[in-house]
Amino acid sequence: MASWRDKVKATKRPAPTRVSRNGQIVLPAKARRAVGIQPGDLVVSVPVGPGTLLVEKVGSEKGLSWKEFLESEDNPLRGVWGPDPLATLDELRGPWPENDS
Amino acid sequence: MTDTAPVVFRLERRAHPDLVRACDSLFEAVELGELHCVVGVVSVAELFVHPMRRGPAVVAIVDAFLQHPGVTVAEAREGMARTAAGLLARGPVRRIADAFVAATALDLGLPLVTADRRLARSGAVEALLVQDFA
Repeated sequence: MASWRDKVKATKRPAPTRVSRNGQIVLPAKARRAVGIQPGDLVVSVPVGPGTLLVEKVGSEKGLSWKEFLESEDNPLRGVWGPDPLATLDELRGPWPENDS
Repeated sequence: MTDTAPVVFRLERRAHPDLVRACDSLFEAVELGELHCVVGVVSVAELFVHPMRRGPAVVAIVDAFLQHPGVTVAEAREGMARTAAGLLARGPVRRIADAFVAATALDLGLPLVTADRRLARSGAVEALLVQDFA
């Protein structure tokens, strides 16, 4: 977490971007080029601290839809719940008790 | 309102293809704005347990789903906890997490989309079983 703050501090600050009423921002072209984010890429926003948001590219192909991203090998959630996701979730809830009084 | 498993089927894609397809049709309607999806706090916790073991990039995908404008996380309220207690006390539901999920749907007056046959057949809540749509 702290390393992101260090990187932000070490970088010459670009001009600020104002957040729109519905929360939209423009990623500056220089910043996009620097990290290889292109139009059509899929990104996620991760809060990392007060006033600090990490924007991470999660889909690398142009125009990838959310479903296409989920289907792709880039989806890091694939296999996270094991070979039987229903059984894995059931384990979290615990055994279904038999009749009790 | 959706239980945890349908979201997992949508996001991780490794469940039976029929189940994934059934959940895709539901969540594509949400993404198109035709339906609104409510997720309970129990499901939020369950959705994050395994991704949190893998790291922030994995957690971020679950976050991206929950932050979609068509998805709302239901606020937990004392009334829901009391309803959950009643479901456990009367017996149709036997696990506290199931009871809280069902109570949240009851409190909001919404049907529950679930993949748990026992919960769906408990009669505790109007349930839509994913397997019936597969």
